[in-house]
Amino acid sequence: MSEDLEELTRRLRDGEKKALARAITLIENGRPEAPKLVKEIYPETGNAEIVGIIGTPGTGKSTLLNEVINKWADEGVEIGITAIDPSSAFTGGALLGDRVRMSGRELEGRVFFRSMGSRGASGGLSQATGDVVKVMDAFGMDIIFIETVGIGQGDVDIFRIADSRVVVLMPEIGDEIQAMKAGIYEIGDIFVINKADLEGSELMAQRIRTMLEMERGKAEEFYSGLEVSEKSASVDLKGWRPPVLMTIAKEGKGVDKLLEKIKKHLNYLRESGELERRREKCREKELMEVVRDMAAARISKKVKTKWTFKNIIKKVAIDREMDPRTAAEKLISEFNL
Amino acid sequence: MEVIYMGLYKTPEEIVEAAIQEDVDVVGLSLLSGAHMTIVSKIVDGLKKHHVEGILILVGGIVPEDDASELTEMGVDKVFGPGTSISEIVEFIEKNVGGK
Repeated sequence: MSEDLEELTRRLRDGEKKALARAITLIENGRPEAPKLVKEIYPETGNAEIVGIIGTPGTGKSTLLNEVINKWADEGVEIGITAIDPSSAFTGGALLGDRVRMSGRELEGRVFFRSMGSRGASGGLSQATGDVVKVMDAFGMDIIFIETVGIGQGDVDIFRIADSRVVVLMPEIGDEIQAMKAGIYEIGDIFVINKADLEGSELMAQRIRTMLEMERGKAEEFYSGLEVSEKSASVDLKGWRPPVLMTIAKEGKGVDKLLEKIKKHLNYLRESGELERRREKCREKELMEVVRDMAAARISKKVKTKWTFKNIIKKVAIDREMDPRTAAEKLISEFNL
Repeated sequence: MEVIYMGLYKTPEEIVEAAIQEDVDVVGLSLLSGAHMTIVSKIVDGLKKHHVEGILILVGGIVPEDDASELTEMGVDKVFGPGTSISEIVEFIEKNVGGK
């Protein structure tokens, strides 16, 4: 470890906010120091509980989150938030507006809010978010929130990093819900209909409850044919039933209930052993992703330095003797994989 | 370039704290209230107090020339008056960021 990194790690352990901020920047920018830092602090992680909040823009999830944070921070809980907004595909830039809803709470105690653009490239974003969560965890946060807009697969991947997953919806959202796809019913632990004073909120709650029942029914059918031991290893059907809550974040209505449910779910995860199961699954996925990335990077490098490479490109591109897939097979076959 | 928009009516303390937590390269302040001298000096002092170094501080709004030069002395890197084009601001940032 270089001296600078050693110093940064020391300051991070001392609870210096500026060091945490800098560590996150290293991760965001994909700097070579970042993996070294994560390696160093990793044994100190695993204590924080991670809550994901997903909701399309306009549902009021930032306002809702701010209300929850205010209440929770009052209990002396130290909270880290990483809020992810989409970056422009053209410029790579982003306008990150989630901080607007923060109401000054970050000045007291240890509420640490960090905005992130999704620029973290293809697939890399969930890894980067995972690493940001790790440094916040090692820093000593009790609770870490991941806030994301929930459009596209990337967001669902990020959402999976969380132990407990809150889905925020609003009435009259119509096709937006389609954007989130049915998968959201499988992954959500708590459903919130915000702006519940709008017309159609009851109907929407009803619809979600029906969908959740259907999901459960499907799962029950599927698992009924299996051995009990396997059953208990996969889905806990007797356990948690995702509640559907109504909130009006702007007026603070329903926030107490939401906080109570989040705590209850975290408690359930701990006591049922589901927390460990989820974390194992999440780490497995992360590990395989990294294996894939590393293998791809190394093989690509080797392939490109082969003397036959240019020759093969010519065969593929100009002579049309070989299609890209066959060429790839040929190149890779020499590595004994 | 990523812009973290903080919204209106933030206190100097909140702005300093956000600059720390977000590990920013630039702080851009927009003021039309006429209270720029008091507010900007609080922010500049706050950043110094927390040893937030090497970042650009930009001010935009209706600022009289005398005030502008005083702000510059205080530690503000540039004051942009009404009618400044966005590209001018972007160019300034690109040229000067990280150079302090």
